[in-house]
Amino acid sequence: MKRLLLPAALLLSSAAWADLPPPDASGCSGKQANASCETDDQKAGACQQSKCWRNDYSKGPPPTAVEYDCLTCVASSPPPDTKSPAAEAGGQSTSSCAAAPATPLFLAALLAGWLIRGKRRIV
Amino acid sequence: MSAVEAILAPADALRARLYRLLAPWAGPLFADRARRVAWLGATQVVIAFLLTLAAPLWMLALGPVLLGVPHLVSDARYLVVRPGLHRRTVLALLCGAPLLATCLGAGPAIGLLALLPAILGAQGPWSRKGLMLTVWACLSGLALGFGATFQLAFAHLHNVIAVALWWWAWRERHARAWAVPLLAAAGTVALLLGTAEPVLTALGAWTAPWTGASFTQHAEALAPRAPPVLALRLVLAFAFLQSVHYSVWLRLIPEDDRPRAAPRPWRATWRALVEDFGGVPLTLFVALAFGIAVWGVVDLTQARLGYLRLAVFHGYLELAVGALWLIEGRRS
Repeated sequence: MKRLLLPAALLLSSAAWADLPPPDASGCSGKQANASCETDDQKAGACQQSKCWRNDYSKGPPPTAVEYDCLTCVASSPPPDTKSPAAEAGGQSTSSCAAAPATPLFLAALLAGWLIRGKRRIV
Repeated sequence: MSAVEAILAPADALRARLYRLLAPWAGPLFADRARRVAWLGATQVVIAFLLTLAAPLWMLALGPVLLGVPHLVSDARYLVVRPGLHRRTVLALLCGAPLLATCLGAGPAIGLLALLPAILGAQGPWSRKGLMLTVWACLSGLALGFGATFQLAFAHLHNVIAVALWWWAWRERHARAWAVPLLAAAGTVALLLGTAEPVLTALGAWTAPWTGASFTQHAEALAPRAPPVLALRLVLAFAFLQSVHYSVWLRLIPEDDRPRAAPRPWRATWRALVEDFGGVPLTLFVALAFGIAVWGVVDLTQARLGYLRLAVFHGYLELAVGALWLIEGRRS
């Protein structure tokens, strides 16, 4: 049974390694113009025809810029009288995302400290 | 004798004849394991560098398709099966769950969760566990804060992690193999300084239409926010280090790990694989390796991307087992 775990892990695998698209283009992947979408920073918007550029290295460096048609997600503008909660809070962002990177660091430091302290007590 | 061994028998006979022919001149190179690993490793790094100068797009296209699955099997074999980690059932299950989740699309912070049971379940001093927990927390913080950038950096760095893991964990078997990490570092620096570019221009190797991919696509995937010239050089360095990574897992670690110091016939290698994995899983691995290779014949780009989706977990596996071994101070 244990021997089947490894092949199962390999065979059931099926996901995420994607080439990175231009900014705000990933939300329009597989969609058509005017379809609703989400920008890279999770704002609602609509897919619009746009121009994207990519570097062409086929003649070596420095690359030449090549323009191509693409769909990018353009955020819908908010109603003019709507204030965001952040603005109402005096412009200070209250997003939990800002704290997220530090959270595991803090928890681990606590845990590590507790573990080391416990060991010293035993000794 | 199994069907596979019957197929391998003539190859072994030819190999033995070749060894006898070369023995008067090359015997000392093969007889001693440390010397063999040193020159094999150095030769492979040099070949990887020369190939990066001559045909980097082909390396990036064919490497994962042909060597990817065998190197994943080698990962599992030398990190899990041969050290017996799969017999530590709870640890294996707790580490395996986040690894499997990354294969199903979970982000890097989830993959890094595989380190937690490895660290907490390791048999070693708590001071080392505390240190490793701090490392895990820093990595997790970076993964949560800079997900896509972290994944890119990890894709580049995991090639180096394999070299470091081999160098440290099997160090008693290859005392004279300094040339391998030194040449790998020198090659990477040379590529980052632009050594390859005149050669690629002279050889007309900036395109390789049959690979189905271009430097543009690789640069967008591997260094999307880097300045153009640096992006190109990072792609070249990735091609080189990926090749070194494969060499480490497919040649150097197997040489170092096996109990018998002398070179092993291919039939004996197959028997050892069957003993380590069992017949059914090994058959599945072989089928998977051939499946991706055949897929590559049909559509090289999709086969490469398919393999890369499959392989997401193995960088985190290397980190988790590396953390376990660093705490336990041993390989098994």
